[in-house]
Formats: sequence, C-alpha cells, structure tokens
Amino acid sequence: MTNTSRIDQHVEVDPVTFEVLVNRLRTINDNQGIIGKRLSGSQIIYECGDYNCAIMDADGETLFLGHYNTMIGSAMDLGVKWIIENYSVEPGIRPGDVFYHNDPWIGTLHQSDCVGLAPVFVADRLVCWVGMVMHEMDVGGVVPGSFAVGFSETFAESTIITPVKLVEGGRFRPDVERAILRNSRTPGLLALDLRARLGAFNFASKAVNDVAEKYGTDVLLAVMRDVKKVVGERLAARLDELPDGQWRRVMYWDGDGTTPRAYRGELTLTKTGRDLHFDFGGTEPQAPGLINCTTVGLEGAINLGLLCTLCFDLPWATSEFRNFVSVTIDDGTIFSAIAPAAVSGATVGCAHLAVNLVQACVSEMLLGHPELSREAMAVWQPAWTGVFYNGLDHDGLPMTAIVLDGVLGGEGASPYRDGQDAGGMFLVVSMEAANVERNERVMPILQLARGLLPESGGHGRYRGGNGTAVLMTPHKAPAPLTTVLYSAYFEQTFPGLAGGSGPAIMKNRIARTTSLEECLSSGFLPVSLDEVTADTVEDMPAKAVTVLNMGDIHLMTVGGGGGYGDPLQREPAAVASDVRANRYSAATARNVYGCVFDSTGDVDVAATADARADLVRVRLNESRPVSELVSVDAVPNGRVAAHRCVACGHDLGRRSDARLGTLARSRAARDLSPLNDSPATDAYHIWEFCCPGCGLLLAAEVLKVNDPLEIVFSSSSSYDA
Amino acid sequence: MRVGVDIGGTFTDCAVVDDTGRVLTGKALSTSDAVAGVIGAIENAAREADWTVEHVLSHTDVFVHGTTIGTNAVLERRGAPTGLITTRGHEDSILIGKLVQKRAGLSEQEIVHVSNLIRPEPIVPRERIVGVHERIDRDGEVLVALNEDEVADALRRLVERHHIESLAVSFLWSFLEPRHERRVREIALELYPHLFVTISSEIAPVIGEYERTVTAVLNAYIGVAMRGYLSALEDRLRSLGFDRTLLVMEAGGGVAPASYARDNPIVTLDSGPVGGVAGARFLGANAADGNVICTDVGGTSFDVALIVDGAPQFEETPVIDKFTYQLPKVAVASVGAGGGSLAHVDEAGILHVGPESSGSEPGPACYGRGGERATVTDADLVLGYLSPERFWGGRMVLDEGRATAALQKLGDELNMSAVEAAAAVVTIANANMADLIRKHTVEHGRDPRDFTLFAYGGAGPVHGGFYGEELGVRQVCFVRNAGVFSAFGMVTSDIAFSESMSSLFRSPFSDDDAAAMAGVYEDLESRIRGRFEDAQLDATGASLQRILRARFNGQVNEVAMEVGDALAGGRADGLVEKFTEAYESAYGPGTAYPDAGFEVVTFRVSARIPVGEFALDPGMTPGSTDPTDARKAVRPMYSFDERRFVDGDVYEDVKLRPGMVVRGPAVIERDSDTVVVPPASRVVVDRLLNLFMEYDS
Repeated sequence: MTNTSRIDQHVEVDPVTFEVLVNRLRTINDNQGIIGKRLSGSQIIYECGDYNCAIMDADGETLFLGHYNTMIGSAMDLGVKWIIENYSVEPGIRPGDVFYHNDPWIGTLHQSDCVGLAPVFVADRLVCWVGMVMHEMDVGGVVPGSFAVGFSETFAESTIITPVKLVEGGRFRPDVERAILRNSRTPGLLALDLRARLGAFNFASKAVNDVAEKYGTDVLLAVMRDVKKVVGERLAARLDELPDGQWRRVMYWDGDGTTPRAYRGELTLTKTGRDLHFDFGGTEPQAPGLINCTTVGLEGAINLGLLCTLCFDLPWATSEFRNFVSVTIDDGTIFSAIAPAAVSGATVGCAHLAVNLVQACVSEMLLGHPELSREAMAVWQPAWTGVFYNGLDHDGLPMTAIVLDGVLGGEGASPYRDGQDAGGMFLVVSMEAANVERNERVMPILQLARGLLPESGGHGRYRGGNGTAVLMTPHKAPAPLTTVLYSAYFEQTFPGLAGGSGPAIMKNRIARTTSLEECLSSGFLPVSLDEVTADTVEDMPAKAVTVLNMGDIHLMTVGGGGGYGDPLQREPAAVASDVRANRYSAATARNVYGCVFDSTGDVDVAATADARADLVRVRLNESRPVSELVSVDAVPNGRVAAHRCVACGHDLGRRSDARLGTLARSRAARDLSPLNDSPATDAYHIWEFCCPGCGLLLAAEVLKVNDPLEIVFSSSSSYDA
Repeated sequence: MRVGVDIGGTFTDCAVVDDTGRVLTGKALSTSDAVAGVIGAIENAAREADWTVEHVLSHTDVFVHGTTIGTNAVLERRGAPTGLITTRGHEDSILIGKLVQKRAGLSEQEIVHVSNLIRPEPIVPRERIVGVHERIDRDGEVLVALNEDEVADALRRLVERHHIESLAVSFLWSFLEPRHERRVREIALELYPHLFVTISSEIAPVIGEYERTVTAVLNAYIGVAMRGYLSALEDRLRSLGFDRTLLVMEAGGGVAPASYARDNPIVTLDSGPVGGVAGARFLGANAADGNVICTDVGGTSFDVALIVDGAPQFEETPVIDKFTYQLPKVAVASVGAGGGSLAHVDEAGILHVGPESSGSEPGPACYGRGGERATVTDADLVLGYLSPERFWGGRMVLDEGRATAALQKLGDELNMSAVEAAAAVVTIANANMADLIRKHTVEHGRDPRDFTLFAYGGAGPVHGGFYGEELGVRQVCFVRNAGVFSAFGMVTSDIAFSESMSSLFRSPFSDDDAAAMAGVYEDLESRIRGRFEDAQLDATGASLQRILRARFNGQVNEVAMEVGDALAGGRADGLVEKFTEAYESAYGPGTAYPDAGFEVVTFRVSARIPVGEFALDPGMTPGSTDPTDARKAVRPMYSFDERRFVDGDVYEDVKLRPGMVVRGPAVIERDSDTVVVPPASRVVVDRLLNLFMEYDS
C-alpha cells in the first residue's frame, strides 16, 4: 500500500517561508522542463516546445504547470488521478516508479502526446507527483507522423497505451519499453524522450527531497496545500471585480480528413459572481475523421484560456479552476468524442477550435475591466499547419519528419496594441520555429522562401499580426515524399474582437512539375508560385495525404491574428506605416481603413476624412436592423441588460445581447483580403453589426450561409428543439 | 606593470598591479568622453603610489580594457545605420526571429504573462534588408550563382537612399560555402571603401541562419562606434607613453588585441560581468580547486556565473535584448534582485521582493532622496548589518528613520513589526538569489554544494554569507578590492582566441570522415595562427585545444567534449565513447541512448596564450588568529536563528591581518562594502587579505 501523505491541517507556514518555497518549487518545475527539453531527441520538443511539465500534489492536483504547451500539460493531472484510483494496490505506486500512457480517454489529448508520471517520495511518504508530456514524432498507426488523416476509427490510429509502469525502482522495464518502441516509425527519438523524462524526474525528485530535508515534510506539504488556496483567492478576487454577463461565439473547423464539410462549435460563457459556466450546447456531433477531441481536450482548452488571461502573475495551479468553472457539453460531439472516434488530430483539431471559442469569449469578458482588459486579445493564428514527410532522407535512410513552420502565425490584436506579425500560436507560448538550415538538414527539401504574408492578419483599430508563407520543394530526395498535410480554416475564419475582422484563410497549394530546375540553372531563384510555370496547380483540402516529386513546389500559408475594433478608427498614420511596411496594400488601406495617401505615401487628411465618412454611409445604407433579420421573439431570454453605443451613447435597448439592437449587414470574405480567393469562402457570410446612431462597427460574426443568424444569439440546439 | 580599466555605468574602475605584485586601485566618473574616464581612473590609481599616468603607462606590459560601448549601442539602439543583404525569399528571417525573439532571455515568470511578450525594436528595419538571387544547399553546392549586378544595385540603394554606414551579409548555408558572401564584401568595398562590412561566414561560421544573421548584424551595428573609440583610446594611450598591444576584454573570458576587436567588436558585447569571473578564476585556482560560483550583487541585478575545474562555463547562443546570437560566451544568468529591489505585498497578502527596483534615483528610502518604498538595502540597515555612517566607506550617510518607516509601512500590511518585515525581506531576497544559483548550476549539470562561492558587487558581501549557507556551498570568498574587482580580473585574463565551424558528420564514421574531421581542425588551427600573426603575438606559449560539439541524431542540444587525440591514427572510433561519457556526466547515468547514433555538428579550436605569470604581493605573513586588534565596536544585529537582535562585533577592514579569524555574528566594514558574518560561521583572512567564510557544521 502506498503511504500517501495526509497533511496535518494544523501545520501553519509563515508567509515568508511560503514565498520562498513557492518560488523554489516553481523553479524546480521550470528546471525539470529545461532538462527534459535538453535531453529530448526531437525537434518537436526542443524547438517547438510541444511538451510540458508539472508538479502535482499527492492527489494529482496540478500546483505548478510549465509554460510550454499549456493545453496538453494541464491534462496530466487526470492521468495521476486515474493511476491512484486504479493502481494503488496492484501494481502499486512505489519510489522510483514512472508510469507512462497516451490514452486520450484518460489524460492526454491525442495518442502522440505521451505522458510520463512519477510519484515523488520522501522516505516512504508520497508527497507529490511530477509529470512530463511530450508530443512524439511518430507513435505508429497507418499514417506517418500518427495524424491518421483519412481514417475514421481510433483503431486505425496509433496504439493506445493505457497507463503502464515503464520504470520500476529507477530502472527501465525492458519488456515494457520494447513494446512501446516497437509501434513507432521513429523508435530512436522515442527512446531518447523516454530517457529525457527519467532525467528530469530524477532531478525533480531529488530537489523536492532537498526541500523536505531542510524545511520538513510537513512544511513542504503545507506549502502545497496553501499554494492552491492562494491561487484560489486571487482568482476569486479577480472574478469579483469582473462584471457579470454572457458572451457567445460560433466558429467552425473545416474538414475532418474523410469528408470536406465544416463542423460547428458553439460556446456561451456565462459569468455569475465567481461562477464561470462554459456551455458548448449546439456543438455538432463527432466527426468521422481525426479532428475530434475528448473531454480531456476540452478541459485543456478551458485551462489554457483561463491561465493565459487570468493567471499571468500566479503559479499555474489549475486545481482551483474546478471551484469556479462548470461545463456543459453533450457526449458524442466534436468536443466530447466517444470511443472509438478518431482523435489523433485533436490538439490541433477541435481542441484548438475550443481554445479559439474560449479565448474569444473570455477576452470579451475581460473587456469590461480597466486593467484585465490588457489581457484580452482577439483570436490568434486560426490553426496550425502540420507538414509531415515520409520517405528517404538524403542518405537514403528511412525518414519520418515534420516541418514545424506552421507555428509562424500572427498574434491577435488587443485593445491596446496591434498583434505581432508572426507572433506564434496561442496554444504554446514558448514555441520556436526551426531554422531553415535545420529543416533542410533533416529533410530532403529546399525552403525557397519563408516570409511574412501581407494581408493575412485581421483588420481593426488595432490590426491582427500577419502570418507567413513558406515555399518548399523536394531537393536531392532519393524517393518521392509522401506528404501529410493537417490544417484548417481553408474556407473561413472567425471574427476579431469588438468589431475587428478575422484573419484571411490559410492554404496549401501545390504546383506540380514546375519550371524550377530551369529557373535555378538560369540564375533565377523563384520565391512565389507566380514565378514558375507548372503543369497543374492544386489547392489542397485542409487535410490531405499526397506525394511530392522533384520539381513540385508546395506553398503553405499560416494565418494571421484577428483585429480589434472598427478599422475606421485606426490612426491614419498607423495605416500609412502598415502600407509602407507592406503589411497590406494601398487598396486595402482605402477600402477597409478609408485611408487615402498623397504621392509621397503620407496621409491625405481631408481625403481620408471624406473616405471614412463615405464608408460609414455605405455601411449604414447596407445594414438592416437585426430585429428585422431574426425573429427576436425566438431568441430565448438570456440575462437582460441595458446597452449603449460606446462611441455615441446611442441606446441599444434592454436586451439579452447588445447586438439585437444594432444594424447588420453581411459581406463577402474576399472584400476583406485578397487572400480570401477560394470559392469555398462563398459558403459563409461575414456579418457586421454597427451602431444605428453613428455607424461604429461593434461586432462581427462569421456564419455559414445555411446557418441561421439566430444562432449568433443563442445556441443552435435551442432552435433544433 | 599590468593595468586593467573597466568602464561601468557610473564609474570607470582601474586596477594596477605593479612589478612587486602590489595592487593599486582608482576610480573616475564615467562620462560621455569615455577616453577621459579611462585616463582619469588610471590617474586616480597612480596617485596612490605618487606616480604620474605617463609613468604607469610607459612601464605597462599588459593593458586590458573592458568597454560597454558596444553593449550600450545595442541596448539604446545608437549603433550605425546598418543594412543587411541576404538570400532572396528570406528577408524577414531576422524579423520573425524564429518566434523565440518575443521571449528570448526571459524567465518563466515573465513568459507566462502572454500579453507582455513583445519583440524588441529591430536593429535593421525591413527597408534596409535586401534579398538577392543566390542559393547554396545543405551540401555547400551552389544552386544559383550570385547575381552581382543585383548586389551592386542593392548597395547603391542602401547607401544612397538609406544612408547605411555598416553592412551585414548573411546567406543560407554560407558557413559551408562562403564565396557569395565574400564576393558581396568585395563589391561593397569597391563601391564604398569606408563601409564597415561583416559577413556571417566569418563572424559565426555555424549552422542556424537566424542566429548567424543576428551575429553579423550586431557586429556591423556596433562596428563603426567601436572602431572609432578604440582608435581614439589607442592614440591617447600612445601619446602618454604606452607602447604595447592594447588588449580588450572579451565576453568569452579572454582578452583580444584591439586590432581584432575593431573588426570583431561583437566579442566585447555583454563583457561587463566577465572581468569579475576572470578575477574569480584567478583567485579561485588555488583557493577553491578551481570550482567557483561567481555572484555579483548590484543595485538592481544579480549575476551568476560558474567556473568548473578552472574553466568558466559557456553558453553558445547568448541573448542580448531578446536577440540570440552565436558566440561562445561566459554564461551569465541574471535576475532583477539587488540592494535596490523593492518589496511589495500582493492582493493575497503575500510578500514579494523585486524584480522592480528603486534604481539609483530615488534609490532606497534610507538614501533620503524621496524613495518611500522599502528596499533590500533598507532592510539590511534596519537589521543592523549596515552602519548609517559607514555605508560605502562613509561617502554617504543613510537615514535609518526613513528605512524603518518604509519597513513599518510594509509590516502594517503583513501584521509585522518593522524588524520582522525587514527580516522577511532579506529572507526572500536571499532565497531568490539562491534559486537563481540553483537554476544556473542545474542547467550546467552541477550541484552548488561542490563549489566555493565568490560574492562581490556592492551588496554581495552583505548577502553572500546567507545565500551561501542556504545553498550549502563549501565556503564563501569576499575578495579584496571588491570595488574594482572587474578591473582587477581583467589583468589576470589570458589572451584567448577561438575559431568554430559547423560541418556535419553522422556516426558510424568512416576513415574518410576521420580524415575530413582532422582537416577541419587543421584549417581552424591555421586560422588561429593567422590571428596570432595579425595581432603580432608570440604564439610560442600558446596551448591549443580541440573541442567537438555533438548530439544524438535528431537532438538539438549539443554536448561539448574535448577531442584530445581521439582522431589520431586516422580513425574516429574513439569519439563515440567519449561522447556517451560526456553526455552521461552531464545528465546522469542511463540518459544516453547510443543506439540512436550521433551527429557531429561544430568543431572548435580554442587557443590561449597566458599573459604571463604574475603573483600578487603576499603582503604580510600570517600572524595570530585573534582579531581583537581589528575590532572597533559591538552593535546589535539581527539573528535569523534566534529571531531577535544579538550583539555582534564590528571589525575594521584596514586592521585585519592575515590569519585572523572573525567569528559571527559580526560585520566587517570595508572601504566599498560591508561583509556580514552570520552566527555559526567564521571568516579567515588570507595572505592577500581576501576573506574566506566557512560554516560551523
């Protein structure tokens, strides 16, 4: 039997020792993360930061979570709790053990995120757990890289390993290790990562023991108890200060790898005092393909959204969230998939969709607070683009590798500043993109160009950051490259914050049998598809498996971030500087921002004022009262409040949703960015809601043409019913 | 004679070691005319021996200079307008900064504040970055030849429209095939002979275009200012009778001739803390078996560096203002913790110390310059460690009343007395410093308990005894002349050159591989010899070391190992074993996975020419252990064990003699600082009047 420490509730820790030990434990967790990263054999860990580490208490409650992949890290506690419940007697939890699993129905987001969990003992008392989750390059299954694009059951995906005891008494169990490695196309990388976890755990366990030796085990345990309390109190205080309200978003995820359709996710966030209720009602049933997530992913998405906005100065102890957060979700949906649903693309599939919904709603909630609104941001880069290559490397050896440039998206704008170009993914704060030379070293490719992509960020008073475009081609590849593409938002994106527009769509475009070789030999280095001739040019679906031959060129675009506020309120000087920096064209400056420049590129003040007045006039002319577009009576009664326009004070009425008192018009995505050139965008409306008084753009939505405008205001399940 | 001069933010410090081993010290205010500050500081030191500057300089054999001109130019963006020519299609690389540019160099606590992660102001704005047609691949093969007409056009545009004075050139894979970069330099200098040109394949011939480009850009950016400054300094020194090679302190821990630093000014970047590390290395060689943790506690920051077996520990990719560059540099970790760190109580009633600092204006409350919030220095004063009259050698009188009032205000929020609040502030400050040391030693795979701690900088001697105890170090050293320790350290540094190059080999190695690797080393060694010749240095005493950085296949983390004779006999088999050994010694047994195979990435040759043996004047011979003659008073000072004030002895530094043993609780008041000797510890005075603290076990 395990001697799990029951803390004597009467042990008091003075505030000074508390501060000292909180910093110490936080440093220990940070260090185990650094060690894990150092020892890892994988670019995904070292450069992309797609891993995380945590210290959890004896019951498995997360006390300190690292700053790497927040979403996957915050789910590790579930595995610990499962192990305590199921394995305490047999096979037992003992000093020197490390458990290992990748079960999305227990405590990880998808099979590639493999979790190591180790109990830490001081003498024979279990005082806490340490955990490290790492995204492994390949854990098997039909598709190289283990994103099972095109398959519709988890049994086609990689083998699920429920928790096993991988290390016993500090030594690897060779029988278990062999079974794990046998399933992978990249066993060498995987083996190094298993050792990386062990190296990190050895360090952390010793460091925790040093603390216990110096301060006493009871004090250590009391600090762990109190850190939860302190975080809980700080969160409670923040929630007390935030106004109550209800915020709602509808977003889509296009393509599941088996069918081209888009799946709708819905979220209504209701804040009442200290209670945050996340209601995902109306979200669509689980998809046949790999994009689904389990509730583990949904919980991770909520944790991520709250940690990055409300816990920026606190230890990341997610254990306290359950005191404030409640969730409604139907099983069998894309956010709560039931086995044997395919889930191998969950993290950068529907869990990412959930993150986008959570971030949008939480940010709107934060707008109502003078200081916390600094943490509000429009949704960042819409989705990640994965490019997996399988084939032979330069030396003719079997290779499965990944291009991680899909993290180079734009940041969402905040109410105080523009989003940064190539600001990264909200999903992983600490990520990094590999050098081009590293990519070309590991894979038989040339990266012909990697640069910022004009017109990819959303517009607004503060603009969203631009994403990037990457142009790649096989180079000295001994064999054709089987290429797995995993992405989303090829048809539509989502709105920015407070009337800002969303980023442009993303794409994977492949030019087949191009004139590349002639170009190079004539001294010309093409950096866009326009600069070569090709037999055919294919726009790939968001998820695809294809083959690249020598001479084929692949263009990947990574999306920008959403904008904040009405673009007509952007400082004209900032627009001029954007145009000079080629963030967008003078035409966009004119059409979206209403800015006119003289021949030197400086703002023509009078012409700009006229142009802006014109655009407001057009906006008002094209808009109709929302009350005429939807049957307001059909919108179920939410909490009613009085609303006024923030600019002119126009009375928007007492309503459950301010937008019900506005004017609305629908626009085509192609009007907002020349990158929205796919016919698929025609299946969506971009709805803009403006003040009937002054024409200020207050909000926007992106909806399928076939989805009723009503669902902007209330869950679609209310209408189905 | 040997002279070291170090320019700091406030003072320019000078240490002169004369031919008898006596150390003279001097200070002058740092002004906008840096050369005047240098001469002023030498003058100030010379005065101690009634010499003139001319006398000192005409008898100087070794002159080492540490400058922050380059560092400040980067931090304040005051470098020369710089252009960048790069491979077409990759112009944005330095702006994208691999994403990591948003957070490089930040701590975990800073990183989790997502909305605060903002890129630094670019050093080269986008309009001064031009891509040209050229392409080299991973084998070093030219796929697209350099378009020279396009290069000339780009140069004309950069110079005539954007008025650049410096140019950086960085092409993909140039470290394998530098001919395009070299050709751009030729064209640039033909067209504009005064342009300062840096090419990446020379300044950082290693894999990784982002860091290589940053290195070239930083070098170009500070090049014009450094070239002007070093020439002016050299002229001035010559006019005062100096006729040897002017040496410049490198961030890599050695010194380089000024002629080298003029073309490669990046070697001086962030070299500020390195003088102290060199001094600790020198003094620690005998006193501490060469294993030293260097800690420098200033007003606002706390710096930590590590010396293992006499060798400072390096970082390969240092960061300045969130820009990561490629240059082996003494690894210095830093946090915002120092005498000026402010204490505050958060919403949950928890006390925090730093990273916010009171700075020098208004400074701690006890400075009486308008600061009202409690700082670490205020707490030190209230706890009786500092004397109001003897602070900084009596140059400033501290206001105890204001310190107490500030701490009382803090205490009111915590239900504590002013003294309890002061004790809490010092406890947390000490723990924060100990945490950084732990983190830094762990990152280098070491345990602080195997080290001697050196504590210097204004507040180091007050706190070193405490955080040393917390860490369980063997002993703590408080160096003599702590006020100019950096300048002193400079004169103890060897002339050091290193040349690196990336070239990739995967195990198992063939005999051809072994021959190719040996060839790389021979190439690097001949480059080093060329540098000796350029600097007109006698290389007879030089020692050359071959170092290899390698990693398991797929890994990014590289582990360095000394090659020794592992390539002798035309075979490379010995490398595998050496690598596994080096890996496990850093990360623990069982962490290596030799089945993965490994990859050699970077070759390096390090060369050192000792600046010549010298010994410090041993001064007095050890006498009695009894320190009574140096004791001048008894005053109450706070004991953390007893949680109350106890009587402690106050010693006067100038009366301490070698061999004396001071027992805590006590303080030793020195000219520029105060050493706190906690209870249950003792300080032994060595022959050079350095103080070594040990703990009663």
